Amino acid sequence: MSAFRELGLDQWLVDSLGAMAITQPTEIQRACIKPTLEGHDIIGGAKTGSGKTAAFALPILQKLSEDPYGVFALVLTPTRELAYQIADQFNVLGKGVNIKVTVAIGGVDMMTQALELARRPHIVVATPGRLADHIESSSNAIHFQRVRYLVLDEADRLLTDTFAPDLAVIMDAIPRRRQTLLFTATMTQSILELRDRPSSQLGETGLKPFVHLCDADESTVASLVQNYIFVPSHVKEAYLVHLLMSSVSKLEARPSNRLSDDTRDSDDEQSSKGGKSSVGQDKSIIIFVGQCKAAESLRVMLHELGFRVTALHSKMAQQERLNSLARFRAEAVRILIATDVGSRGLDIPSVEMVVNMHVPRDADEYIHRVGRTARAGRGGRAVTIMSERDINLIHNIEERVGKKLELLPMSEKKVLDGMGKVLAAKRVAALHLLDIDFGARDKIRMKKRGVEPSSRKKPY
Amino acid sequence: MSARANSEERVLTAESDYSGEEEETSRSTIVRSRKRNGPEDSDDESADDSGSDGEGVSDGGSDAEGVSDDVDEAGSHSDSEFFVGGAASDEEEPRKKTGKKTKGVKPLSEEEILRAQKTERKSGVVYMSRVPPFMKPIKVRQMLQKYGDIGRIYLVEEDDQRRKRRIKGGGNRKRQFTEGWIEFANKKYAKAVATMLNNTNMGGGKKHGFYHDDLWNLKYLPKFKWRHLAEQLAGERAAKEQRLETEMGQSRRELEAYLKNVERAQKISGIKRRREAKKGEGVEVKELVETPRNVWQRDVVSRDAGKSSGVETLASKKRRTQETKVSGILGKIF
Repeated sequence: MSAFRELGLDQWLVDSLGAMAITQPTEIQRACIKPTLEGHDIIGGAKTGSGKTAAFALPILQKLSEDPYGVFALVLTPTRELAYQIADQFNVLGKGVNIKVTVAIGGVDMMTQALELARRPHIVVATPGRLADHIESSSNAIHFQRVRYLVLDEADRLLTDTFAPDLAVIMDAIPRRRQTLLFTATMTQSILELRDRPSSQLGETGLKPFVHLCDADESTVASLVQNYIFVPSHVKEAYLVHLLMSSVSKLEARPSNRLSDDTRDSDDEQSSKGGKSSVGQDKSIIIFVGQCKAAESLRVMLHELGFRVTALHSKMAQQERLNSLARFRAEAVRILIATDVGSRGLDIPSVEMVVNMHVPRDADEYIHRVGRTARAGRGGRAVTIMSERDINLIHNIEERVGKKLELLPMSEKKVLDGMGKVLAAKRVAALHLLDIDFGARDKIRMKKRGVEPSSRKKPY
Repeated sequence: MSARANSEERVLTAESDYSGEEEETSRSTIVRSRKRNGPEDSDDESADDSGSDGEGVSDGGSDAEGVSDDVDEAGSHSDSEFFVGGAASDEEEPRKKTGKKTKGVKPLSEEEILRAQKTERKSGVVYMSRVPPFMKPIKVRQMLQKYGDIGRIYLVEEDDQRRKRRIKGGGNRKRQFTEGWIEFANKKYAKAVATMLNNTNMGGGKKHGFYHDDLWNLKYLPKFKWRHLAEQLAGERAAKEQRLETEMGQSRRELEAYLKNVERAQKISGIKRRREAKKGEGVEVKELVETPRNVWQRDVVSRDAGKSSGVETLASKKRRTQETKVSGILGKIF
């Protein structure tokens, strides 16, 4: 009997897992599937890339197949891309029972979404803001009266003040009698405290939530190599470019072109005609930066230097975001520049290196960022480019991760050779951003709302 | 031949004297733009070459230095085109032939200046807010010249990115223009044309003509002369170039400074190494004095509500004032 069968899953689910070549449950799956089927609330903490999504998707699908109806489960995530990814996974796993999944996220047309929600899909995957909007404005499209499961993926991020007002609206719209499943890679104190609530405050089930935490002393996986580079802040880009050059084995055999034809489309053309990808190029890199503007300017800079890059940040239109991610997933582009919007949950197997252009100020964020690589037992490398101002941050991260980062040796001479070009490209990128007036729309929107732009100078 | 010159839309007027005295502003020289010849009208171009050049000579625009200056400026008009026909060349002041060695341009006589000023004062500019699909300046001129003498026409070509997207989506490869300005020799006619034609269809003899059912979108621009347009465009272009130049210069200096510092660091570490070696041999050496630098460090933050975060960000302070906080939600989770 298969290992999944022993956890209490039906044969059809085991079969569909087998079709994806998944035969052995991971630790979190082994621990959480059975209690979920028995009706417990769950708090699950496991490292990045250890199969948390399947850990909640499988029992939900099983219960759904026993009694399929209207909106059966509601899954909340902090980012839009993640919502799509989870919906995809539900679709793949639940193909056998003809499952209907709807995604309710911001940045796309609300009307069509409301119509889809009105058709009572089995599972709704949503970001809190848009869902709260639907609950408040399109009330006859929402059928949450009989929701059996509420899943908070990346629970530590969702249970912050950012999402609190929206979550309050959603909580009021779904029944008290339900199972709640919380999953995250970085457990926080406030979530763990929920376990110790007196039973009078527990839900209708009256059962204490089942808590499973995989070994918590080290929060990153062992197969991940973690390096750092320590350089002055104004030459970071030069080191980044050198790092890319040395690890991207000339996959960018594209003549450097001027800004005039700097469009996202031009990348497409390149990828369509440049089918000359040779061996040793199956390496994708994600570069994380602190701000949308930094992401855009780095994208322009690297493009100017002849790299094929794409970006993912919240100042892009939603369709652009999805296209960009899809191209990165399909390995048409090997370098993705992302803000923290891409730091959680995204599962892209080909990513072999994560570069932190800016050191995250929250150590948990670091764990999520480097968790984009070395997933599901594969290897990976994380390189953090730190500068003179980040010493406290790095110490904090090392303490949180429970591991010392190692210095990545680099030939300074080679970096200096290419530095002139990089610095010039950086200036050109800055000018380009000025020309297209990056962020002007947001400034206008803020002004309309009467919000003063923050006067505090951002460190990045 | 003048009709041919009229239809030849790639003659470029460069108003070389704008930077100088106000009085001289309307004097212009005709120069051919050789840079922007699209492949589709190159034959046309060569056929007309001799004609226009001859015209230029007869207008006295053969002052060697003046012309070469203008050519330079014409070359820099990379993203804009000025179109000029025969009407504009009529305004040309016949200049006395000067010796080849003379420096600068011979100043105009007072009478000439007055005439030029009058010509400018009389002229008027009409703005065209939309150019029908693939209509070229030559067509605009042809359609409007029956209403009055037309000077220069400038149509803005569509954005490069947009064009690319259009073609990628299966669009036409022809050149598309978005908006434009048309100069009339007499502003009375300009005004009349704008009021009369605006929002009427372009008509034309044949009902199946391509532009028959397109509407004119014309607006007379009061107190607006051609030089205002030219000045603004030239100014913008110059500012952009200037900015790029400064930035590049700064980046070069930045690099030099950094390289110098690297060299210094290498020297210092060399000295240190040698002194260490000497010390190993037991020789008394002076210690290198290192001044510790105080660098402002970024603060650690944490989103965890359980832990106290290092700093309170502006956003979190704002949210704190809101009623709903995460502590209110936590009670509802299970």
